[in-house]
Amino acid sequence: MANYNLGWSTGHPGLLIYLVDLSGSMRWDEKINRVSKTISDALFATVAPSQLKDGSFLNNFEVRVIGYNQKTYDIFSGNVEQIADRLNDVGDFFFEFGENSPYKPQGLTHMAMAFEKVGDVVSQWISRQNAAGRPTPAPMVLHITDGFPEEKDTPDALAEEHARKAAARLLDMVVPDGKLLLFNMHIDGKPGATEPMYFPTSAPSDKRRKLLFDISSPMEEIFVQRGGELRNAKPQKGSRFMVSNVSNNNILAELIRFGSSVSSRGAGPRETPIDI
Amino acid sequence: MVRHKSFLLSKHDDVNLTQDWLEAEHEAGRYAVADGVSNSYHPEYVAKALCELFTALPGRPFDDWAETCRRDIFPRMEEQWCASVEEFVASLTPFNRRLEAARAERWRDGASTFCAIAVDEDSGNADFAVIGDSTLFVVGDDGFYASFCTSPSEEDENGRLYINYSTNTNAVVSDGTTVGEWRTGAFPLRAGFIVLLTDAMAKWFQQSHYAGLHPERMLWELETQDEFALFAKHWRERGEMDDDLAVIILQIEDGEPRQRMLPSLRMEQLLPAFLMPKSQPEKPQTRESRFWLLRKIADFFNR
Repeated sequence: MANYNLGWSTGHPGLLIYLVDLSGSMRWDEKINRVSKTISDALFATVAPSQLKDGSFLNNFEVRVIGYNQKTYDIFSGNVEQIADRLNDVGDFFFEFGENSPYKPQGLTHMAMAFEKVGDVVSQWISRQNAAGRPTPAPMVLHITDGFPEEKDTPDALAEEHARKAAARLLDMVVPDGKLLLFNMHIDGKPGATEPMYFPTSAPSDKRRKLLFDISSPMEEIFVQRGGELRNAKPQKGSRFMVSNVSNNNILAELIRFGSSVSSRGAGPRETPIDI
Repeated sequence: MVRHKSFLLSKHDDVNLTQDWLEAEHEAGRYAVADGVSNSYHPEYVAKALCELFTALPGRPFDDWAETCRRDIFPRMEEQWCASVEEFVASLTPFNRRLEAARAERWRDGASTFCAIAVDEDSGNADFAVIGDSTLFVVGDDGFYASFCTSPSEEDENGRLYINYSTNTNAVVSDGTTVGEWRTGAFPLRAGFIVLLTDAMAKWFQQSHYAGLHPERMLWELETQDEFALFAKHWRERGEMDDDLAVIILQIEDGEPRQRMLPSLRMEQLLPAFLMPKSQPEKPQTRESRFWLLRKIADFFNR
């Protein structure tokens, strides 16, 4: 089977994972507010096509929302119906992040542990699908962070090395449809000294951006084509699933929506059949 | 003499959820099927409007089909689609309206394939127009076979023309434009069948025809919607017909007792071996019997 040919359907549901940085700095400039709201918006857009006219839903994908700082948190796990119920309950913000919330941003950015957690979740998912005899679309992981790897009592270089290795294991996970897709999205609270970078085609010279580049999935041609629909940042041949220093909320929203649905459409005949 | 039957079935087994539509105005000799494009906005309303408007047209719509579309069909189709969408949105809860807004933003317009025919028994001719992968088949009792749609096709080494139902489809859009071009034409009526099908049925029909299964006769044997649903269930369990299904079948008789051109066929010859019940004990032939329909078809050929 050709890579990334299998769209999401009830017969072969997709897996979409939002891996959300809950380190202390995410409280600054309302970054966590924006992320929670943008995930809610993206899921509205991703769930909407699965709704039938009678109001019921086709369960053609599942979502996991995993938070991390120095621990990992299972914020949400569910199919389309459960996502819709959650959206109906919570409205604008997909998850709580206030002072009394277990998902309150605090602590460090233990990326290696986060990637290992995602690897476990994906392995369990693949095993479950295999046991049920269901083909598996390549899972998509959207990693949203404002920082770089940090571990308590660990030099930054070593923390980075741990994160690289854990990400590499994740990037090696493969199903017949293709390798797992890891889309790293680095966000800024407000426009800063560093210009945003969208879908680079070669490793940046900046050490931190280079790390993100190295641990991001290459974009196959089909994804580059679909990225042509983006208004603000278009990938090119050879791009990676990586953006950095994104501070504009509209652009962030568009990118998260793109990441949430880019692999849902297979290359088969019923997907976007006409160009309206 | 022209007789007709029609069947409509949703892939979700609820006709209210179908994106296919059909209309048959037998008195006027007008028949149409349409298949809403799933990745568009409320395609079912486009499909319904096209079929209803065509079958209600006065005069001779095929004299200038482009003008008929421009003047008589498309403006009203667009109005009807808008009105239907507004009515639907007004019925939604606030939560579902937000989902609806996401769909509207993503797709903006609705689209549908369309396959229509006007049969004139007096002149002995039929005119048609088709856009997209919904297909018009003509199967004569004398072995004649033709198919019409706008999907690409290619000939195999035996000269058989295979329509490729795996590619993107042309369609009519709710704003009155089209993606792709119409195919129009006319042909004399001949004893046999004219069949209008949406793509999932058309794909099965083509395969069955080239396998020598006489799909037009299988369809003509069906009497009720329930029989069609059972028929579709049988084929769906074999991986066929995995979509909404719309069928209009016309039997054309020339007024003389029809001479059967086909040799008598036993059921084993009619169907591929894998469809045959294997060593089953004799069962009462109830309508719920899995293979009652197959036996009925065999009976037809053994009359």
